[in-house]
Amino acid sequence: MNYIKNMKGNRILKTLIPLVAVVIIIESVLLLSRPAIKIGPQTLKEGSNTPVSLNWEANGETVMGKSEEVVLKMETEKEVAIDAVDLYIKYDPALVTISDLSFDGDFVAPSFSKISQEKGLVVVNYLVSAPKGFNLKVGGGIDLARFKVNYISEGEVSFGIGEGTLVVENGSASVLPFNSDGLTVKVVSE
Amino acid sequence: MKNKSKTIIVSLIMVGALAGGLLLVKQNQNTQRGAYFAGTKLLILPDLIEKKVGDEVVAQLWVETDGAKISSIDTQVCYGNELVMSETDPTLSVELNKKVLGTLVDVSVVGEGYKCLRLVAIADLNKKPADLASGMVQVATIRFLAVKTGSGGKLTIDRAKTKVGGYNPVAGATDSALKVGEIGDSRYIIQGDNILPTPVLPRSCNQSCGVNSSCGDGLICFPQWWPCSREMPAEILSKTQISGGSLSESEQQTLIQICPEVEGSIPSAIPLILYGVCRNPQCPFKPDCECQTSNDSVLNYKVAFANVNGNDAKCVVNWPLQFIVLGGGTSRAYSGIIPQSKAVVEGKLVFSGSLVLTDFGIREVAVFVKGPKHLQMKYGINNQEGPYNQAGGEISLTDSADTSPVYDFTRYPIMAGDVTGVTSEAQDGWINGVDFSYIKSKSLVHETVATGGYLRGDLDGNCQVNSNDVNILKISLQAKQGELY
Repeated sequence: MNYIKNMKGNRILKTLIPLVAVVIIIESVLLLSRPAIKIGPQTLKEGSNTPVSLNWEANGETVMGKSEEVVLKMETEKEVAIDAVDLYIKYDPALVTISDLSFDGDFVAPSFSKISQEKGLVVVNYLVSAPKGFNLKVGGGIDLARFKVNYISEGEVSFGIGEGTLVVENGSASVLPFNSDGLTVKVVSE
Repeated sequence: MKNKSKTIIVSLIMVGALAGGLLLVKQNQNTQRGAYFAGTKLLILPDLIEKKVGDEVVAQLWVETDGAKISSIDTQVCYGNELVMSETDPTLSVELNKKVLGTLVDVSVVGEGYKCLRLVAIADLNKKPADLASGMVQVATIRFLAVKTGSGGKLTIDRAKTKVGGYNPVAGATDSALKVGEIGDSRYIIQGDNILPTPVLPRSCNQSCGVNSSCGDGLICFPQWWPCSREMPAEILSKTQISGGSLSESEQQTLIQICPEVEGSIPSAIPLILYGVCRNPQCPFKPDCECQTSNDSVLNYKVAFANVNGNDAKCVVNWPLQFIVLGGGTSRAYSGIIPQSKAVVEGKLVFSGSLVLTDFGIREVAVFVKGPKHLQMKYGINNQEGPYNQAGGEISLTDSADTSPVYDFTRYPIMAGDVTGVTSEAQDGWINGVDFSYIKSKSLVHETVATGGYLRGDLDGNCQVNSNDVNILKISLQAKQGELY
């Protein structure tokens, strides 16, 4: 009787062990195909080196002779404290005239601002005196520059961020990287 | 019974081995040996540079990663013959962003004709991987001098000779290679003459040479037997650089027409090396590199620093000045100049001195003056009260301190505020947000020094960085931007 019981236990063990082994092997193969640490893009450290984006708001197409508003916004994906912004917007003065430069009341007033039609530049310098700088929040972008553009010629008109543009971080006095695509507006005749 | 125990023990060992295998699999392994662990883009910005002959051409080298940390770069930035830089000491032309890569390992100019600047830099060895830079970062600023007009010039990154190293979080090593993907070159347009440059390094004068590239610094290798003040045609000049090359009868006649003095002295065959001397092709042809006579001139001057209260300037002590004189298409810089005397005149601290302009014989000049935390000011006339918006200058000099007039530039004082650069602590010729942030940070802690001491952010020289210095920077910024735009 005992012998029969032993025989039955052995059979169960002999079936169970290979089953467990097969399950473990399958799991191992699955794990191998999924690396534990992601290789490639990693999130940036908060604070230093946090990139900001300079984004345009404007109609992509307009009519020659019409005056329309163009806005350049500064946004961030991570909260960052700003000490200064030097902004140079370049444009072709043969194709447009720019007027009515205005700024965001939520940000500091610029220390210097000018539309240089002769050089084809809009220049704005912001210096933040508050000890902790200006806290640029996620989803809380500010209008760095808002101006009216009178399109005086047909074709494509481009606006871009010019040399010398800087966004300076509070505390570290280091320059933050920024992303910005140019703005192209198609101007057609009526 | 024995069999049963054996089966159980063997089974246990098998399960243990499998569990052990599973544990090992769960641990990190670098399965990418020899492969790139991340990618990178290299860019030269701005993508279009428009300058005039004589202008400084400033290009920025940027690296962009998708989060990978950068630990080193070895690259070559190639440029056309419209641009030059010092080939004997190119480190003067490269400013490393020390916050990204702190150590410059090698800077050299390589190649012939179309030259390239090789730049090798690494992060400081004591930097922790977490502190390495990532994202889009500026690695270096490269400065060239525009010497020729041209509209099709390019600053290009040689992909084949570019390696970017980074921190591989999987391997835990900082020497892993990043794949160089997109490369963004820059175009430059150099327009008409602004200032005729003088790419002169006196030590290069009359050095022997065998090929163009052995001269450097904008100098060209001319045959020693060429005594004329007109340049030799380029195609004939190049022929003289070929080993055993000889000139045809018609070429010899061409040379004699251009320069009759060479008749009878043109060699029939040109030796390969030591056939010539390095000379400046942009100057009227002379046997040395210099365009001008070797006489000295003397500049007697008076200058003042803006917003310095003469009665409270206990720390305005030996602030060194840099003078650049420009005239007759030639410029020369004199650095570390300490004025001989100072006096308080109507509350203003006025510095005066007599500067001997060694080896500068031009007598009608413009003068550029810069302080250690100041912008460069241009002076073209005596008693100047604002910007001198004209080419050249009307400062007349003689070769003696006794006879040279005294030029008073104190009514247009030297503007303060350029205390640091964007990529390094060196001045960059601009007052911008980085200068503001630096002074602001020092003013918040009221950085102070004893009488006679020096603080970079102390613009009014009262021995402390405070809100007044921040205000002075704002005043300078507004004034300078108003002048420029």
